[in-house]
Amino acid sequence: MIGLGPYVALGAVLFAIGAYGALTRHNPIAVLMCIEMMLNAANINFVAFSSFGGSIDGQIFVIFSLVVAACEAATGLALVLGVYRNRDIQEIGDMHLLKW
Amino acid sequence: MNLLLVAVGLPLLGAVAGAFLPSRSAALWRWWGVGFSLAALVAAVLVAVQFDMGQGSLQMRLSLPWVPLFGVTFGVGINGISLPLLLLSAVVFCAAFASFGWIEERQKEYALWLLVMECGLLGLFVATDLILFFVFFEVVLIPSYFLVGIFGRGNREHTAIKFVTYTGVASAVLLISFVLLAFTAARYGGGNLTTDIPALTQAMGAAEARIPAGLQTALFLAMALAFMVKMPIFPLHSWAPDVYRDAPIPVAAVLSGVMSKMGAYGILRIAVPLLPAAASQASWLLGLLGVISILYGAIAALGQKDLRLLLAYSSMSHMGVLLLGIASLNTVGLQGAVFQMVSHGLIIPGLFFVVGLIGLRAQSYDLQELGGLWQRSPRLMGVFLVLGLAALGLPLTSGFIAEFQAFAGAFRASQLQVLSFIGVLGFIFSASYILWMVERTAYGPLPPRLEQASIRDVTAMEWVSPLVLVLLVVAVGVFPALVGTPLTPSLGELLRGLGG
Amino acid sequence: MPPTLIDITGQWQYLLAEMVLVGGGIVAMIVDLLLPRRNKSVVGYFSLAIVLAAITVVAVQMGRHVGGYLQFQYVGATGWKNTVVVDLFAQLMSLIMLVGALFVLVMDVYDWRGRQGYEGESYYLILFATTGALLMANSADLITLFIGMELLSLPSYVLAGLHRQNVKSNEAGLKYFLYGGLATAAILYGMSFLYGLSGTTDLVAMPSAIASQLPNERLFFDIAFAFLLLGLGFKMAVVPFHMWAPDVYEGAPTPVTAYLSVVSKVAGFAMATRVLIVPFLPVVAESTTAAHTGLPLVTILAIVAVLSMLGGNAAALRQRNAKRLFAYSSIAQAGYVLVGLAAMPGQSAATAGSMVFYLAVYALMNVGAFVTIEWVTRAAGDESLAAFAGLGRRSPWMAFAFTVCLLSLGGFPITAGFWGKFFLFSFAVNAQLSWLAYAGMVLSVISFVYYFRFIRQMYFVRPATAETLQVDAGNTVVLALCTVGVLFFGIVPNVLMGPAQAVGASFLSMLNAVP
Repeated sequence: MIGLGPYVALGAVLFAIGAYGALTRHNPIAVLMCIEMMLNAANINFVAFSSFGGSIDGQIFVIFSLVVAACEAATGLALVLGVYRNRDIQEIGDMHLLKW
Repeated sequence: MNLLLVAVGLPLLGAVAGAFLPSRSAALWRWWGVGFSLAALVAAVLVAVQFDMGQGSLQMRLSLPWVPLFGVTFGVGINGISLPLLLLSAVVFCAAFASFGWIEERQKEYALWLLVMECGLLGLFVATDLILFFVFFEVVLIPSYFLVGIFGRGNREHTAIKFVTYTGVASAVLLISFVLLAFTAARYGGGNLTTDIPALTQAMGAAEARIPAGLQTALFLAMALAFMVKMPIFPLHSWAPDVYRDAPIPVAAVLSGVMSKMGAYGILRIAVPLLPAAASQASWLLGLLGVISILYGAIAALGQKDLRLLLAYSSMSHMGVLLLGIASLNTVGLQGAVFQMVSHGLIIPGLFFVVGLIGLRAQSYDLQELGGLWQRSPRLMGVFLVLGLAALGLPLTSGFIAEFQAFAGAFRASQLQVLSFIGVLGFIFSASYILWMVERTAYGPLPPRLEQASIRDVTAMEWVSPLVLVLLVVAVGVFPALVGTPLTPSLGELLRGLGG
Repeated sequence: MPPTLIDITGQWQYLLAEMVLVGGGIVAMIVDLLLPRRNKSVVGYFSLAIVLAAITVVAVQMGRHVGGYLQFQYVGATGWKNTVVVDLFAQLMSLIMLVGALFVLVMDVYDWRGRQGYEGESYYLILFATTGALLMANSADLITLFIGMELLSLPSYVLAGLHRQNVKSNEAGLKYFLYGGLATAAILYGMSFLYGLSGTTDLVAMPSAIASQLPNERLFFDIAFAFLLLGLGFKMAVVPFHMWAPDVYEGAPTPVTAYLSVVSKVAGFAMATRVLIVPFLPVVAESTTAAHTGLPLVTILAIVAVLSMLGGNAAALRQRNAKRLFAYSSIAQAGYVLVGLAAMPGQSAATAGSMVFYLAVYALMNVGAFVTIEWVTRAAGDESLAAFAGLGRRSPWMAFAFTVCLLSLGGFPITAGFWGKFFLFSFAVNAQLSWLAYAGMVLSVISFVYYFRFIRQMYFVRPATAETLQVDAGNTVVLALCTVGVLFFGIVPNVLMGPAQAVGASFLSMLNAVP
């Protein structure tokens, strides 16, 4: 029987990988994917806490947060496209009109 | 209707109503300012007439709840310490408006900002609530910024913002100290939170033994230092020479004559009575800074070539005498301090007006380019001489009583004896720089540059401001009771609080 | 008082303002599709009416003392769960945000004049974003709070990037999105720990549930606090989580900048109060005991406040672009409010009131400033400070109003900003944080320098042209309302502080009322 600990640890590792990627990757789409990974790390936590703690709230929360993540991805991709359409930009570092 | 509110409100009314008038005629604004400041002066004189000279506590009290959560009240009242200062401010502002001729453009803005400033200063001297006091304290700052920044000369914009930020830091410290004081009184005294000065004095008196001495001293020093910035006192003075040099003459007169008294008044009226134990503990520090200011100001004045800078440093030296008087914490010294407030408040604006008139004639404030003006402008130079001698402390002028008493008080205070001996040396320097200043401008040959220029003597309108101030200087010197009568009972009350 | 029985009709009115906004937003969306390109401002006026209706709803509910919890129950489970709370705190915060949104809409209608683009979208996106902002103030549950936050954030990202032909705006949108996404992830991660510790997402039940877990799980409380602070720090734009703000403020259309600096910020503070303060009150209380081993939470908040005031004010000194300068200015302003937040655990009841007061005043003075910035920068085609040269001569009343707003932002007396700072810092003194109050007040003096730079331009510098600025009626009314409000609350602060004071009481009832 696996306890609560490994699940939380998995979440922490996922979150850390996501955060590292989000801060180091230069491609906006890669950053977006890393953010999604961080959100899913939190989701793992919610499900784990929910199934070990006995209340169903956590699992409900996950459903909401998945929906939100989807909306966020849609918005983000639209914004990335908006930038690509006007300028030939591949990396965040190329956006230097505003001091970064 | 409370007369004090009338006196404070009239200039504000003038400023607000004036904002809606078209700004075409320059003369209109001169008389607009003179009218409203004279009206305020009349109200102030009526206050003095109704004032009960035998009573030391606050009179004409009005106290309305303002922010009940913190016990903040809209409270005004007047006692023997604030009455002379109220009258002084009203007079100096009238003089400033009467000397309107320096302002050549944007007269409307000038008159309105000066009226706002008058409202702030009059209000400050009648406020009986810490927060209301602070509000007026800050209200003075904004007009100063505009008056110096728009109408000044030299590097005026830089001077204006330096003034605002420098004194802004002091105000910031002051406000939090007020709040901390009110909370401390409520916490240790168990009473309600209040910022009403009389109520707070009582609460602090009751709770004093329980409040940690360190906290009391820290609070006192924070407030005293913040007030010293406005005076200014060494080493918190570096804004003053810039401002006194770059501000237009009437504004420099008002700032040096009245605004500098805000700080001294604050120490005397707020810091000392609210924290008497800390005050007597820290009085040596006040005395020390006072003496340093006396000497530093006087020596620095000796080295100045610019007349206005000379006045700035001389003003600082006089403020040192004032602080020394306060530090003595006895009747004679405190009397000297209040006399010095009034005396310096009359002399230094007068000197600024005269210097301004000199500058108008000679197109220069540089002592090396001046001389021989007595030949051309004897009346002006006569006033200059009298004011200079008054600043020196010549008997029969207000300066004599003030400085004599301040030093006499300091000699009596055991912890200040040595310091005041050193302070007296300042007189030697001040005698030198004042006589030098008068000598270099009035006597000697007229420099060739000025030979050709048609220098006329003063006109009636120019004449009126310095003359009134000179007359008052002499009047206070000859009849010290003018200030002393209302003052004595109030100082008695203050000293009772100090336990002395 | 929370209802003990479920009362459907009574309950749903707790969400009435949000429903009005969402419904109005959907209608506006459809109307926008049907309208020809030239008449999109109709959508703007319609949106204005919707926000006004929402304001009326909140105001009437306040007048009738409507308040309580919207609760629900899972089928087959026992016990009610709170989702939405209507208390005085929520109502006042909602009013501030709605009025802010109203003013921004007026500015937006003017901004779109003579411009082509996604005009209709900008109006209804503001409506949707405001719905989210209201939900953030109203939520009594982590899930609702999260949904509200995202409902505010997602339209905001789009709004920032709405000028699609403008590369600066594109960049602003994308940057805002990337940073905002990171913040969202951090908040969600922090919330997961909060849920794991308390076993509930119900914010009302949370403090007592958390108190029972103390001090065993102290480490996890600190982790939760750290992630929530990180994420909310981004949303509120406080140092060191502020780097997105200057870029986004500069690049976004001016009305959107105003929206971000007012509505989003107020919503961020509402959320911070709900999730960063209230659940952690027992933790802070435990910190004062000798045995505690965790982080000093209050000190951390205080340090973030000092950093914001210092960093925001110092960085603003170097700015020449008015909008960018105001980004840093509002970072510093957030620092002042954080002082209130840091004082809250010590003295929660009334401190919340001082925060509400400051945010209300902040909304007024900042909107007033942005109205002027919008007019001046549009007329000059230049966003630098030099665009304000000689405004005192060109348009004296506008310059006066702007000056009042600036002085209020700087905290000068007889403006409401003075009392705002006075209240916040006084509560800090009361909460034994005198050093923080001294630091805050002294650091606020730095702001005089850059606020007075505008004043210097307006009054000391001669104008390049003598012509008066073109203004529109709507924004004139907004600017006048802001200025009069700032002066009015500066002279009689108790009119606003009276009701705000009561916030604390209603707010604390949330702590005590565990159903």
